[in-house]
Amino acid sequence: MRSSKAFIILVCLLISANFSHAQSYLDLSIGSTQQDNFAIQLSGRKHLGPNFRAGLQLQYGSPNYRFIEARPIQNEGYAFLVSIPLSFKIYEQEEIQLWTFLNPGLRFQGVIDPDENDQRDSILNSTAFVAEAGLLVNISLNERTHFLSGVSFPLAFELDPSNLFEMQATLVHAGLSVQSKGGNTFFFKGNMGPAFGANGDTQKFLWALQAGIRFSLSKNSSSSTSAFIESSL
Amino acid sequence: MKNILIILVLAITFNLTYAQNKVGWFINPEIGTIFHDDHIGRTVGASIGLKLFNDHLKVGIFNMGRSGPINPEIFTVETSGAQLYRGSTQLNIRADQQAFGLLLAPSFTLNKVRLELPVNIGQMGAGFYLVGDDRNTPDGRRVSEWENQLMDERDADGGGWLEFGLKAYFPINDKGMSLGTAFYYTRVSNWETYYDPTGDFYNNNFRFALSLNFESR
Repeated sequence: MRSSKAFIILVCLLISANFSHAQSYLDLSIGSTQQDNFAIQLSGRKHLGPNFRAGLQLQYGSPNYRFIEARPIQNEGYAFLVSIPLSFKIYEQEEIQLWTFLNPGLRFQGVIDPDENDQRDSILNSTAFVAEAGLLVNISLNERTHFLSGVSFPLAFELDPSNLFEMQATLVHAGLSVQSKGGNTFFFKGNMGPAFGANGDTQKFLWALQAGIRFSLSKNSSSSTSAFIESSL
Repeated sequence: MKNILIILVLAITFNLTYAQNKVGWFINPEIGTIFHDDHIGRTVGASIGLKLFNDHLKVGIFNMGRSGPINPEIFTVETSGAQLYRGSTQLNIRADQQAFGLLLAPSFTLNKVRLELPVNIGQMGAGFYLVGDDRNTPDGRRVSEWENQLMDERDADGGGWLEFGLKAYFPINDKGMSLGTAFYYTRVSNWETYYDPTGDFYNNNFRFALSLNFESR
């Protein structure tokens, strides 16, 4: 629990960081996934070097099919995620970029009134460490349109109420981003892939669809670099 | 496996030291179908890795799965010892599978079409599981505990996975994108379950895969 508080403090410090300098973005998106009927995501990202950017990502989801102690919760409760996405550009040649990324975070989810006695007298909560690593390719189709694809490997480890390797998955990604003349970027993307965890009690397949907009907080952001949209949801 | 890794490290070292060729990369998301005896299984997967020896050898990892939720086929089997589960001794189950391992693919180009001879060697985990309302257990125990009990602790198993085949890449543009089609023959070893004690569910099958390939030039 102490580590959770420290993590939240760290997150707050990152929130207070100044995102208004060069090569900073604010992403707002909404989507639907295997896990959530709908999810809203807000993230800020900032370049800390020509090939490295870091940020803070917040997500709220209304669960469709999630798990606490490897037992399903369906169409009830809440899921809140906070994470620190780190992205590294490891290859760039003309119109193609290769990025690797790591997105560690914490997930808080729960169900109010789990015994369904119509009284809010109990809450079933869980806390989990979540992380996703992968490789994504960003290809420029023309000056303003980019195609995104790649592979990622998300995992979730429940810390409370039990220690449980909840899930690992392999996701394939596809997406498109279109940059407006004003410098903002609209994106639409999806992913899917097989999953496994907790002796087969949890997710067996994941998918996600997401649409959003990236606000560029700087006037001189590079088109091809800002068009690279990180994996999320 | 250890010997294979040693050979790979030596090959990469040789490539970097003597062959004076740059090392490239590739990412290959794919969807596919397994041709089972009486139905078709849908798969999703990917391979990633390095290109060596002037693009004549790919070395990487592969990961693919035939997930239950995208494969609605239901199989039926009597419970072990005629146990009752939710009022019946007959189970309705689905199949679920994932394979992971090493990819080796010698490759060459013929009339702008890149041809590869991929070999996927690794491990597979696969089993059969309760679906729908049957996942709501009558006593609140986890469903995997019931699956173990009802299928004599053999609801799932791990085994060896070996695939080899032919893959062709057709260039889409000059930016490192191509469309890949592959045809594999699959062998599975030391895998058996309560539903399939012969272990033939995934063994001795063919698999077709369609992929988008991204690579350095």
